[in-house]
Amino acid sequence: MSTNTTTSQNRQGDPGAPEKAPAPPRVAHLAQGLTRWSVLIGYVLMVAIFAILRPDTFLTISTATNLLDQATIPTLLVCGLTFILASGEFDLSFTAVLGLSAGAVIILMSKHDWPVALACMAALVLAGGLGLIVGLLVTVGRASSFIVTLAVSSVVVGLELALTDNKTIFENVPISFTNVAQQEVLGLHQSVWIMVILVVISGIILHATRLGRHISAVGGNATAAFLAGISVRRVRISCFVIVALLAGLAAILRTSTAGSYFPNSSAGFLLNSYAAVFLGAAAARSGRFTILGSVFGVVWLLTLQTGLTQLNQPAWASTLLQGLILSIAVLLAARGRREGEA
Amino acid sequence: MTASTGPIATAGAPWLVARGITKHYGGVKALRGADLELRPGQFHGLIGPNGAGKSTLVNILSGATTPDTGEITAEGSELRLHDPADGIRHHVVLMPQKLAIIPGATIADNITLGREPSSRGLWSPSENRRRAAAAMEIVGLGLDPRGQVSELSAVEKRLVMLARAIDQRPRLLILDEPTSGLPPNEAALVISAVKGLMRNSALSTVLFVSHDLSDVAEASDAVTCVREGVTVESLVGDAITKERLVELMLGAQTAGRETVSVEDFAREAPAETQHSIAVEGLHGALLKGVSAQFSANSVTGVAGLLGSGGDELLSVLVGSKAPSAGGVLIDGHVQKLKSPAHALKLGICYLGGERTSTTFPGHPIRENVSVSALGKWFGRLGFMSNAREREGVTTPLAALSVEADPERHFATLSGGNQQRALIARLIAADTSVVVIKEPTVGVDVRARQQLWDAVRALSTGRTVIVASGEPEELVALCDRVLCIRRGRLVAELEGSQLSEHAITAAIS
Repeated sequence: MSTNTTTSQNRQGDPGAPEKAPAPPRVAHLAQGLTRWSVLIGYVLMVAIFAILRPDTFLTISTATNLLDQATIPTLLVCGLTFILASGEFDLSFTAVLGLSAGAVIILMSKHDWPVALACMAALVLAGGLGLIVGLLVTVGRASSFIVTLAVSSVVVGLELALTDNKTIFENVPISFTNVAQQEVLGLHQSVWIMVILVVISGIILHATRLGRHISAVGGNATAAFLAGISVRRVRISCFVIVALLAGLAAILRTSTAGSYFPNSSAGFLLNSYAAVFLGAAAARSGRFTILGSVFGVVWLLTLQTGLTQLNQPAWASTLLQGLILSIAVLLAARGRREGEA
Repeated sequence: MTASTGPIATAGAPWLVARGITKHYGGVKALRGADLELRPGQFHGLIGPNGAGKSTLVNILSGATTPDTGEITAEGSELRLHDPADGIRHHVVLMPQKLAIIPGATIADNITLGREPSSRGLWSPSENRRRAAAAMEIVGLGLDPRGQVSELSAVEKRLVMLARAIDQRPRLLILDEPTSGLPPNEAALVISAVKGLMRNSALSTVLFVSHDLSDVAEASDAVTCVREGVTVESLVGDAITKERLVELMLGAQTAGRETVSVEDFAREAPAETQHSIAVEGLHGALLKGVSAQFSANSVTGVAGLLGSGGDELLSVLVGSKAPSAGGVLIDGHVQKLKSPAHALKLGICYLGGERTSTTFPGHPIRENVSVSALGKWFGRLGFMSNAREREGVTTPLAALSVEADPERHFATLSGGNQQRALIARLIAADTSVVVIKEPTVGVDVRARQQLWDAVRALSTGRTVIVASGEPEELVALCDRVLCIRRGRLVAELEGSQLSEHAITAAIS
C-alpha cells in the first residue's frame, strides 16, 4: 500500500541486510560494560580517597546513618522521577509539589489544629491532585511535559508562598507529627524505614507489575505501545500521580524531621534528582531507568557531598561537581543505551 | 543545461539519459542496472511493484541519493548531482510523495521555501508574495498567498507543492505519487495542472510515478516499468493500455504457491469463544461506505493503493481511528472501539506495518513479544510472574524458530527474525482476531515464505486480516481479498478469481 518501501527500509538502517548493520555484539557489550563500570569504579575510588584523607571520620557508622537520613527525601523524589523518565516524559514540578505539600501539612496542624493523620492525608490528596492535573494537561491537552511542568511548578510555588506568607512556621507542631520521622526503630529513624518500604514498593510497581511494563513500553516507543494495545494516556497520568504522591510523602517526612517549615526551600532537589537518576541508568546493566539504579545514584551523590563537607571544601565546589556529574551521567546513560541497541 | 528558457534540443531525441544505474543499501540491491530515456515534451509514466526500485531511481535522478555505478547524461554531457539543491540548480525538481509542507506557515512561504527572495540581503515580503502568486496562477490555485496552509484541502496542499516545484523552474519535473489519496476528480485536477504547465512554461518533461495504472495509461505518452531493480520495458504512444501495464507490472507469473503445513500454534479454542467480526457502512476521511465480513479460520486480505482507504479500514478495525459513520460489529453487536487497548480487550490484536511503529528496539526480545499479552498474563492486581512470562514467550518464539536468547535486545535480530518475533507477539496475545499490516515489510525473499507460512498457520482458530500493498503477497496468503479503490469495496476475490492480475486490475 505504499511506494516508499525502499526508502523506509533505508531509513530503518536496512533491515534487509541485518548481518551488516549492527556492530559486533561482543564489542558493544564491552563498551556498555565500560560505561557501567566507570560509575561503579568511580564510586569505589571516591570512597577510597575520602577514607584515606579522613580516616577517622569518613568510614564510620555515624557517617553511614547520617547519609541514610540525608538520603530519605532525595530517594523518595528519585523513585518518582524514575517512573516519569521511564515513561519517556519530563517533570520539573515535583519539587514545587513537595514545597506546597510541606506548607499545607504544617499549616493545617499548627494554624487550624487538624489531627495529624488528617493533615497528612490532605497533603497527599493535594499532591496527588496536582499530579493528576499535570498528567491531564500532558495527555489530554497534548502539551509538552517539559513546558507544562515548568509552568505548573511556578503556579505551585506561588500558591506555596501565598499559603505560608513566605514565613518559617515552627509553633504548635504536634509531637506526634515529629515522631513520624524522628522516632527510632532498630537504631534508625522511622523516616529511613518508611523510605526503604517505599523503595521496595516502587521497585515492585516499576519492575514487576503490568503497569511497570506498560510504563517502560510507552517510554520505549509510544506509538508501538499504543498500537499494541496499551492505554498510553492512562500510563502517563499514573506516572505523574505517582511522582506527585511520592513528593507529598517526602514533604510530610521532611517537615516531620525538621519539626518546622521553611519557605521555598525545595528547589535545590531538582537538579540532584536528575543527576541521581541518570547516574543510576548509566550504572544499570540494561542502561535503563531502574529504581535500584536511581537509589544508588542518590547514595553516590550524597557520598560525594559528605566527603567534600568532611574535607571542608567550600559549598560552590559541591554545586559545581554535581553539575559536572549530571552532564557526564547523561552522556554515559545515553551511550549505554545506544550501545545496547546496536 | 544552462538556462531554463534555453531552446529545447532536437524534438524527439532524448535529452536526459540514465544508463546502467545500480544502487545497493547494505546487502540489498535496490537497483541492478536501470535505464531510462526522457524526451522533451514527454509525460513519462514510471510504474513497478513495491520495492522494485522506483523510489531509488527517482531519488537518484533528483540528486537525493547518488548511484553506485551508472551514468546520467543531459544533452550529452554528464550530470552529477550531489543533493536536491544541486538538482534544482540544474532544473531537475522532485515533488515528493509525502506532503512536505509547513502547516503553520503561509501559502506564499511554503511556495518559496528554500529559495526565499531577498533584496539587499533582507527578506522581501512583497517579492515573496509576487513570486508565490505567479506560481499559483500557473497551477490554477486561486487563493490569497497570505492564507494559512493548514486551512487548505488535500488537493490544494498538493497544488501548493506543485506551485513550489514550479517556482523552482524545473525543466524535468518528477512527480512521486502526486495523486495518491485524492479522489478521481481531484487527481485529474493535479494532472491537468501539470499538463498545462508543460505548455506554458520552461517545463519540458514530466516523470510521473504512480500506482494508479488507470491514471498512468490515460495521461502518459511513454511508460517505463521497473521490476526487481531493472527496467523491463518501455512503451510509447498507442501501445500504452491499462491491460498492458498490468501485465508489465506483474511480469511472468510465478510458479504455483507452495502449500503450508505449520500447525504448531493453531489456536485450540472452542467455537463459542471465536468471535465473528464485520464492518458495516464505514465512512471516514477516505472510506465511503464499506461493509464486509471477516470469517474465522481464514485469512482475509485487504488490498488498495496508498490513500484508497485500506489503511483507514484497518485503523477502524483496531480502534486507532473512529469512523465518521458506520461501525465494527463483533458477534453482531456494534462496538465503539475507543483505542487499540479497548480493541485488544475485545479480542482484536494488531501488528502494524513499519517497525518504527511496532517495536521497542532497545528492549529485550521477551518484552517485545509479551507486550500485547501483559493484560492476560498478569494477575488481577497486575503482579507479574517472571516464570509465566518467560514460558509465555518461549513457546511462540520456538514455534517461529527464533532461536535467540529472549533477553537480547530486539534490535540485534535480523530483519526476518524481527518480523517473526512480532508474529510471535500475536500468538502470545492469543486473541481470536488478528490484524496485520504489511506482514513482510523489510525482509528478504526467503524469510518471506516462512512468514507467509506462519501467518497462514495463525488462521487456525483465528480470524486473520492482512493488508498488503503487494498483490503477490495477498495471493500467497489469503483465502479471500477485499479490494478497495477510492474508498469503496470494488471487488471481493476468492478461489479461482484470486490472482495478482485480478487484484491489480481492481485496485488501480
